[in-house]
Amino acid sequence: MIRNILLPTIFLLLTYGFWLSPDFKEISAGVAIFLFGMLALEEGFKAFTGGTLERLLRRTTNQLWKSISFGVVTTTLMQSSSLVSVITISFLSAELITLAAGIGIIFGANLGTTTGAWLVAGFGLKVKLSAYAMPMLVFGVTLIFQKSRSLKGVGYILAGMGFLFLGIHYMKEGFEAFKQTLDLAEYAIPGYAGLFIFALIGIMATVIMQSSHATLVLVLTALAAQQITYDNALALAIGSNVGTTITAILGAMSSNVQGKRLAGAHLIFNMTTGIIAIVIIQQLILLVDLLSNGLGIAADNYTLKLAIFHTLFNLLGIIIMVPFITRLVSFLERIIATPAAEIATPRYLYAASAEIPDAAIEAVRKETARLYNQAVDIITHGLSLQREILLSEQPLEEVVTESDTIKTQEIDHLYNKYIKAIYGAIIEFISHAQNSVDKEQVEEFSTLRQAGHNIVEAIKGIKHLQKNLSIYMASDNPHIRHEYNNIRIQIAHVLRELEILQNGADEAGTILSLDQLKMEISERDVISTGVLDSLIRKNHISAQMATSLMNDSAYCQNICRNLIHLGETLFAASDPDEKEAERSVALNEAEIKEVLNNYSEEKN
Amino acid sequence: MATNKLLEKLRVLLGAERRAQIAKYESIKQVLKKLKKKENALKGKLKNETGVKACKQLKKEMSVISAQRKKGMKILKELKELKELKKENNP
Repeated sequence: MIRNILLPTIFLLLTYGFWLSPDFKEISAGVAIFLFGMLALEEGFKAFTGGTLERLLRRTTNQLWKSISFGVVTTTLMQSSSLVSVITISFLSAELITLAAGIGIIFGANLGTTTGAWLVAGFGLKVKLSAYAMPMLVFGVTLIFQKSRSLKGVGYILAGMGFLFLGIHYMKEGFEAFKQTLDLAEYAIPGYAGLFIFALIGIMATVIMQSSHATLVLVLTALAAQQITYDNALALAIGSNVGTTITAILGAMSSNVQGKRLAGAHLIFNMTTGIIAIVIIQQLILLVDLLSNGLGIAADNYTLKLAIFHTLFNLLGIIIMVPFITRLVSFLERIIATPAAEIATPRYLYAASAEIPDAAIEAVRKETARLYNQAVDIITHGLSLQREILLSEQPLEEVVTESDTIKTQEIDHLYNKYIKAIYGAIIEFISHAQNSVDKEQVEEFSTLRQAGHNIVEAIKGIKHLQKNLSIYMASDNPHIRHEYNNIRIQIAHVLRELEILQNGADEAGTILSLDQLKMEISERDVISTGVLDSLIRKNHISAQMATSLMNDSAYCQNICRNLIHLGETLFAASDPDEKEAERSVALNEAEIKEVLNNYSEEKN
Repeated sequence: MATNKLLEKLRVLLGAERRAQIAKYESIKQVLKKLKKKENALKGKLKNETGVKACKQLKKEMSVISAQRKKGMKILKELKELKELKKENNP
């Protein structure tokens, strides 16, 4: 219920916000573009998994000192710890590096980012990467269109970085109004209270501006203009160091659990470092003065002193935190636990029932029936039909024309979620259970196992079928649409008959009614009936369409046969004698062919 | 004594087989009854059906049921013959 109303509520709130404030719209667009950049970046790194990048990363991050150095060097080059942390999250999400290595890089990035303060304070330089966003996007997207996997990967990485910068740019633009109202002089407060308040302002300013560099520039300007005291400026620098983690937190929103853990580590490290720096600020100031004297920096050159302070407290943070990395990893693994996989698990298979043959057979039968029901959901979804239509009496021709837009379903995902684990458990259970059973029971197990296999094969068939189904159902050619609708009808018809059998809706219904379906399937084969040839001859469909139809018709036949086969097992009479009788009266392939021939002759 | 015991065992065994055959015979009879019922229902439907397509479909269904009944009757006949043969051998 909550899930159903959550998304519309968010949409409504956002729409209201957009209507209310254009700034909010810009900021939200910035966040969206940023997150999209993250996704593109991950996609790009995935292209290199198992290859050069993995080897390079493994070699450069296999030891803590190496991963820290990696962080320092890359952040110095890129001049953005936020970007490095976001990229590291992508590495982690793509499982290219371990969490410990990721934390090492983040620690290093914190030290590397202090070089920015040196550049700003020392040379008044600042590498402005956001200017490269547009060319990055253009080059990136051009490369994405290339055939080569690695070029595509590079394209995704470039486009991803471009989108990240663009996103940050829009966020900054949106917050411009806030920035202008931020007058630091109004808040000059002495003592520890001032330190905490200014650290908080630093955090806020960095969160708003999405850049610790921007905050630092603001601080240096204010300090030079003597709007704030040196102490307050230090607190602001500490705050900006904590606030910069927001970028990683945003980035982790679209990443997996490992990415979230890394963002957590980033936050913990920067927070701890910040708190320690505030607590021992007097000692740090003393140390900065000593170092400044040693380096020949003038006592009133507060900007360079601030840069020293920035580097010093980050270095201190690393020294303090490094011995606790292993503990930090286990702590994060505990508090940000891997979510319980939403995978369907067996309901009837218990080790105890495996010991009693009849109970074991019943358990497997029930579990297989459950598996079948899950599969029906997947198959109907795959055909873009509602499960309810299987129970209705509405002609299927009407049903398929009513819902002729094929929505592509993630069959693989649904298979992994609802089928794979249960099917695996059934196979395992049967292997254990059939150790102490008689010959007849072994046969029963084997038939049930085959039914499970039929289910899996039917789903596989739907997966293959779905691709062309979505293409040709949207085609302008009415002939191909008609044929693909026929495929949908055939499968839905089989499912409907099985539903009737399962629910016992027909009193006289036995698995023998499935023979009728077998005949219909043979009758509807587009190849043997000459339908395909006729369509080609009359130029109603292209050669490519014909090939697709031929293959998909075969998939359809296989799906139907598998469904019928499992129906014969699952919906047979419960009385063993009756079941045996039904099976002996059921027609085999040759007999069905004979009936079909006789019927055709009669018709002629 | 040993021969008698063996014969006794054989009699029991044949008895079990016989029981199984009787059960099979009865089950097939049941299945055939169901099929007959279904066939009659389809005949009734066919009488009232006016649509060409639906008629075709019903006829097809009936042809399958007819083939199944034929097969079932054949098995029933074989079982009956076997039963009578055994009766002759063990009066």
